[in-house]
Amino acid sequence: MIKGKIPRRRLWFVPFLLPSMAGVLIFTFLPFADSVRRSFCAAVTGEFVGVNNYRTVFSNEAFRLAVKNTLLFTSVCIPLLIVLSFFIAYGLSRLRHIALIKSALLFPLAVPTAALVLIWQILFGDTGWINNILTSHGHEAVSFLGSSKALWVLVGSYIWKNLGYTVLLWLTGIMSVSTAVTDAARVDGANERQILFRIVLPELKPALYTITIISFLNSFKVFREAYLVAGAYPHKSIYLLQHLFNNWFVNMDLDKMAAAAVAVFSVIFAAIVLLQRAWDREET
Amino acid sequence: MKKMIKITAFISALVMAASAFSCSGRKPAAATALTSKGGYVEEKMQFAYGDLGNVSEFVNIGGKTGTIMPYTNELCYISKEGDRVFRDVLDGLDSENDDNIYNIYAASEHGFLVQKESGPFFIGSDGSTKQISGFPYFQTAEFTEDGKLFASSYDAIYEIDTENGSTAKIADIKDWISAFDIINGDLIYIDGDGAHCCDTAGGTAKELPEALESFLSGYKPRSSGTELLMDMCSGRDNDIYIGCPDGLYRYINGGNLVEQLMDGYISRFGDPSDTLVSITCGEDGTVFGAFFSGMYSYRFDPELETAITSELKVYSLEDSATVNKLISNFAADNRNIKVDHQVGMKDGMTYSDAMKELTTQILSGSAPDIMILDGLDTDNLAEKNMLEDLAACEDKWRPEGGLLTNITDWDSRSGKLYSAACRFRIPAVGAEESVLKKIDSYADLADICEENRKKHDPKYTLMDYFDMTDPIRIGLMYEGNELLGNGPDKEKLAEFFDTCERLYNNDKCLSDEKAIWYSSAGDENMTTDCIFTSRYTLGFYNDYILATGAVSSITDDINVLTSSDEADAPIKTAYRFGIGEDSRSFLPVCQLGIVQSCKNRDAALKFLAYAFDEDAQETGNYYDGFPVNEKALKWFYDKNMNVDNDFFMGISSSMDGEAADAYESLEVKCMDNDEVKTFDSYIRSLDKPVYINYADREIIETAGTKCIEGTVTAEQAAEDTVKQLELRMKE
Repeated sequence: MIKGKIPRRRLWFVPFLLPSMAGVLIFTFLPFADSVRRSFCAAVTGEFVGVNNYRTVFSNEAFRLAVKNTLLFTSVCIPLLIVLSFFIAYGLSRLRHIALIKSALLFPLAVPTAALVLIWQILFGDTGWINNILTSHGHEAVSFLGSSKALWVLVGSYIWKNLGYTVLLWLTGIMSVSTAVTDAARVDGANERQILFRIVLPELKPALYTITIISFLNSFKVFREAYLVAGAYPHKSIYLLQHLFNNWFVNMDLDKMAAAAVAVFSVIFAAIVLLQRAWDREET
Repeated sequence: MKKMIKITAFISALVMAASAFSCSGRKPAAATALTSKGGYVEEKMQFAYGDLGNVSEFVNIGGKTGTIMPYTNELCYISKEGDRVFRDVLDGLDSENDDNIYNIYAASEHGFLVQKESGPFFIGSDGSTKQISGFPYFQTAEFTEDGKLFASSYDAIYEIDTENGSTAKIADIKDWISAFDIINGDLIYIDGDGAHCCDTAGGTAKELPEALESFLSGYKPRSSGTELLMDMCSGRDNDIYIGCPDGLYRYINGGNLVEQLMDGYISRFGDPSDTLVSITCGEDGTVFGAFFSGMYSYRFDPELETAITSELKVYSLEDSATVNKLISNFAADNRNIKVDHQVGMKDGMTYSDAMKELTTQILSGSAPDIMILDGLDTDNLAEKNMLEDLAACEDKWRPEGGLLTNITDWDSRSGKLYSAACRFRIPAVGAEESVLKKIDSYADLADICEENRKKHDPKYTLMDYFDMTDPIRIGLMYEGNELLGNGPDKEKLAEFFDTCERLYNNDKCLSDEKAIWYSSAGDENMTTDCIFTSRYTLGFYNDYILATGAVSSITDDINVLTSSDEADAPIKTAYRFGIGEDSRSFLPVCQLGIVQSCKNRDAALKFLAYAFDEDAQETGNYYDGFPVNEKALKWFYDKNMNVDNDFFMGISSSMDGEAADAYESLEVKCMDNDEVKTFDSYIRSLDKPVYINYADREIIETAGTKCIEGTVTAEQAAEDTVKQLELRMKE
């Protein structure tokens, strides 16, 4: 490490960074800092209340329900998405002409959420196509959107929307694995399974890290579909954290919202830091 | 570890910096004292006979300037002092002793163009009558000073030959006409294409001055109606006065702007519950306006303080004619206060979006000063110390004569008062006497409705509901407290939804074409629950009628109900307040609260005092609700001392399509002293407010609508509702 003054010529990059840094500071960091401040104050009067808001939030039944549902949702969706998308990507990597398929993979992302919701309602509504098929065959109608099955509809929606994009990310990672290494392994007598688990997968750890973070962040966006399908107070199986935040904002419970937001941020931040550390340890 | 410490330090620094930038602190009101004076003042002219109604345009006959009442053939003319209106019979109008005139299109010393049952007629100054053939009616008409007559039909403008009743087309029109006046020999009219001008001498088109044409073209006819939107008259100084919903304006010929003399918001011009008929300019420059409610004068007062010294922000969740009228009357009487009325759910905005917008405003330091709390969650607002304790400053807003505290203070919490209701309604039910005895709950109404549906021709509607949410909304008035009082009750909700479904599906005629609708919302701002009395009186002649809704007015509801007791009707009907026996329910309306962080507390308290003042409580729309001011109540009660306050009300006696125009007359008398005592004693005993906030009501209406449509059963709807409400309570 070089001690002493940093030579002026090494600071030339700073002016280029300033505009975006200012934007991030003003529109991200400062508002978040204000949320942290509000989490220790009353909603409207701004009076300092210490950790009361945190106590209220952690003892709130709706918050616990929302956290449980959100954790359940992410713990089901993310592994499912990662595993499914990987195997699809691995299979596609064996094909020769996949340029058209690559474009088609991004199609679900381009579908507007409102249009998607309309399709879910047509398919899964109480008088939707699936129920019409069921009743016409003598079975009872199933309330897909108004019962615990709503969670699986949401999982399906999430997987459908993000699968293509995640497959593309995997594909990029798989394509970047050096063919010289895999060819050498084949020459040495390694079978496909060994190549997959001993060479390809270890090489894909950076991609795995990126895909996990992105999938985790995208899992929060499923709130849009849930809200459009079932409103502010859906079936309790799909009552997520964002529903709670949305409703708290409507009810002016800004103190609880701020405290919950800080709590959720801390958990996510800790998870990312741990993940990063685990990655760094493996690297070294 | 070092990294964590650095990150924590960075966030703490940002938190401290954020406090410096936070914009939720109080800012003192900035009031700049100005010195502008002078403005137009509106004054209602004394008229001993109540409203003017649908009179003719201003006309000068025999040196008297006034308007003509079609039913009584009288000229209501302005006194010499210009502050009163007198009546004088026009013999020439009714020379045939024919009481058949129900509209006067145009009048002058040269004659009258009137509408009778058989069509339009011209009545000359000599009393001769000629029918204008080829037209069932006109939209409007006007005379020139030299006696030429021009009229507008649905497709064109015609000149009517007053000698022989023939017509000659002058110009085609697009859509309807929204203005039609003859100013200094020029016919100025507005149709779907904009403003036009026509020379009445030669019948040729003329060009309007650009400023005037541009202004008038902003008042093209509305697609929803055929009413005229404005009236014009010539002034005394080569100018034109224009009365329209945005106010009173003046254009000087040759000028390049149209000047606003008075804002519609603070005058009758902008009052949606009133209708402008005509304006005229007096010799001294005073402008007179004839409205359905009466005649008003507009004079310039050079000493009038018009400088805005303070601002008042008023917030209401939903648009309401009651609130609009209160605010515009307040603004008219306090010209130095600029009132900004913000409606949360405007332009199709949802409740959720409206609340988010309000929350954002509060966060940014732009909270309103006054909140109309109807539909809002007052528990939540009070809990957050959002509202001021009105009990602590009641000397500043409670009027001297006192208020009905059982109504105004219903929301008192441990001695603190966060909102005060300035009006109230009472739910009521009415039917044939023996049928009413069977009604003890909302479900009983549904049972009777089902029975009636089997007996009566499908073309007759029984409950007269407008929308699918009507049975739900009205039902909540009766049973809202039982359904939600101690938390949502699933069984009761299931029964409620079942009742609503049965009521709605048995009420409606199967075919919209054949249905006969019987009640009329005279004002588009009226909601279904305001039409109780109209439904009830139809029960005099139709035994299947079940009247539901709420009563709001002493004059138009209570006096009619008490008078109906003595009416000689073929069917003996009866009514009851509430749905069950001995109901003490009431619906608080227009609840006012002052926001803690309001910037203009003095103006807010002034607004509150104004809303509860005797004068404001005595006026208003008839569906606003009963007054809570003791003096105002007494003023209504004392109307029984003057028989001129009695009136006749027309009731359709047949719902059959062929005889649908048959009307019977009900003489409506003011309550006598005994009836006053009974009613007054009853309203003082009311102690069960029915108040359901918008969010809960929306959840119930959504589930109820699905049940009525048949998408879900009543039990499923109840289950969904309970789950949502419980989730909401857990938050």
